[in-house]
Amino acid sequence: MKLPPSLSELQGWMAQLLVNPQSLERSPEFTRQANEHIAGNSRLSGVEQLEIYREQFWLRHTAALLEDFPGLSRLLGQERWQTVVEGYLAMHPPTSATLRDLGHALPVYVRGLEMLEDRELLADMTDLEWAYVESFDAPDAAPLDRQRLTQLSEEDWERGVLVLAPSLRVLELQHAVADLRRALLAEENATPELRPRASTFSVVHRRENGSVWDHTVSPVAAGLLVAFSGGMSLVTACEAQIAALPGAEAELEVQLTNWFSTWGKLGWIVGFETRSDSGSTSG
Amino acid sequence: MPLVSTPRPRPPGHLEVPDLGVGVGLRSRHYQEVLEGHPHVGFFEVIAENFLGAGGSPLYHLDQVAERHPLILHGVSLSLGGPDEPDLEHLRKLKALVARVEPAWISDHFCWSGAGGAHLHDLLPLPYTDEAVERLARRARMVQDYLEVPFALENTSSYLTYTSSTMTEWEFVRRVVERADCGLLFDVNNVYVSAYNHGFDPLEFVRAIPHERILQIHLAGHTHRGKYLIDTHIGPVIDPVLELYEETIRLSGARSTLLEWDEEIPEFARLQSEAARISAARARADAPLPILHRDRTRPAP
Repeated sequence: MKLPPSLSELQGWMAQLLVNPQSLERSPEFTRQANEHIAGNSRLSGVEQLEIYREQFWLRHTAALLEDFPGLSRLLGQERWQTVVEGYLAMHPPTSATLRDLGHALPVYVRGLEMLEDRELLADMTDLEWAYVESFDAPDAAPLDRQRLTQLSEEDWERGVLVLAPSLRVLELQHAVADLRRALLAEENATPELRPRASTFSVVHRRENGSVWDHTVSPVAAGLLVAFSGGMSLVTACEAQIAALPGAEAELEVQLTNWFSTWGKLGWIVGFETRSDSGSTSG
Repeated sequence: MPLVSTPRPRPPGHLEVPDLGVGVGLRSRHYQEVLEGHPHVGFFEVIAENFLGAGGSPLYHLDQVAERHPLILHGVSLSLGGPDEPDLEHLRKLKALVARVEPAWISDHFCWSGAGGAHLHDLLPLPYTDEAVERLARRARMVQDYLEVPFALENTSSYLTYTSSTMTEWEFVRRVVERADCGLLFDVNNVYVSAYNHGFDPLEFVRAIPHERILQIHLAGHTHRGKYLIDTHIGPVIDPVLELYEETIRLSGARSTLLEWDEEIPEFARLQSEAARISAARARADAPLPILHRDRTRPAP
C-alpha cells in the first residue's frame, strides 16, 4: 500500500505547482496529482481548487511589482510586462517575508534581457524605481548640524569622512528617466523619450516628511558623494575627482561651498567622522 | 423584566487582554484624518510586515498613531505551519516592532506560506492532521514565548481541503491553541466563506471553538465567484456573517473586534459608520438576557 506523503512533502509538491505560470489543468499529470491530494467538492475538482491559489500567486506578485515599477511597466506595455514578470519570478522566486523585497533583483535581470531592444532605457528606469523603493524605508538619520561643519579644523577635513543619509542613492543613468517617469504616470498617452543622451547622474533621497525625491547632479558632485559613501575623506575624494574628470578642479573651486550648503539643507549629510591613527572614529 | 448576565468563559491568566471595542485597519490613505481628527473607533490594527523597514514614512506614522490610539499588530508571513522553521531574523524584527508599539497582543494565522526557502505570500490551508497540530502548536508556543506578548492564531478562509485531513477545522483549531496555550483570533467571515466552499454548518464551527481563548474577532466582506466565495475584504459585512458574530459574542462575551476593509477602501467616515453598526450588534449580543421565570429565592420587587 502506498503511504501518504508527509506534511512537508505535500507542501513541497504544492509549492512547486503554485508557482507554475501555466494553468495546472493543461497538464494531465498535474491534474492527476492534484485530484489525489486535494479533496474537491461537487462544484470544483481538486485541481480547480488548487488553481484558485495558483492564480492568486501570480496576481499578487504581479500587482506588487507593478506598484514598485509603474514606469517600467508603462514602458514595456502589457504583453512585454507580463513576459518580463513571468521570467523574473521564475528566475527569482520570492524568498523574503515582505513583498517590499520582491523587486530586488529586477534591475540586474532587466539589464541582462538581450531580447529587449530598448533595454538600456528600461534598465535605467528599473534602477531608478528600485532606488525609490530602497530609499522609501531606509533607516532614519537626523541631518548634521551645519554649525558642526564650520567648526572643523583643516586637519579634520584631511582625515574626516562625511556620513551620508542612509536613504541616499547615487545613480548613473543614460536617459532622463525621472522626468520620463513623471510624464508617463501623469499622462495616459505620453510618448516615451527613447534616445539616449550623455550620461547623467541622479540622486534619490527621502526628505524628512517621508517623501522620496530625485535630483540631477554633475559628474563631479556625484563622484564626491560616491567617494564619501565609500569612506573617503574630503581631501582624498576631491583629489580623486580632479584626477578622473577634466575640469573637476575648477568646478570644485566654484561649487564646493554651494554643494555643502545645499546637501546640508536637503539632509544628505548626517555625520562627520574623524578617524584617528588607530582607526577609531568619532562623530 | 429582570435581567441576568450569562456567565462567560474566562481566559487563562496569560491571555487576559483588554476589550478595545470595535476597531479598523490603519491604511495610509487615512493617516491624516486619523492623526488630525477624533476617530470614533476603539483601536487600529496594522499588518506588521508593512512596518519592518528601518525607517521612513511608515514608521513615522505608526509612532504617531501609537501615541494616540491603541494599536494591534497582525502578521501575515510567519508561516508557522510550513516545512521551514520560522525565520529568526524576521522574528527579531517583529520583536523590535512589538517593543516599539507595545500592542496588547499580536497575531498570525493557522497556515503555511512557503517551502524550501520560497515565500508564496499566501495564507495556504493546512491538512487537519496530528502532524500539523504538533508542528503548528510547537511553533506558536515558541513565538509567544519569544515575543513575550499574548499571541493569537487566526483561522483562515480556504478554497481547498486535503484528502489527508483526519479531523474538522474546528477540532484542529481547538487542539492547536490548547496545545500551544495561545490565543485565538476568530475570523467570522472566514468561517462563513469556508463553510460555503466546503459545505459545513458555520454555526457548528462557531459553537465548537474554545471561546475563552478568543483575544480578538475579525469581520469583513467577501466576493461571490459563482462556484466559490473568496475572502476579498471588500464592502460591508453581510447580515448572515453579522448573525454568526452575534452568536460568537453571546458565547464568548464582548471581544475586541476588527472591521477589515482592504479592497476599494472607502472614506474614513464610511468605515466608522460600519464600525458603529458592528458595535450595535456587539452590544445586542452582549446584553444581559431577560429572566423568563421568577427567581423564588428572592422576594418579589
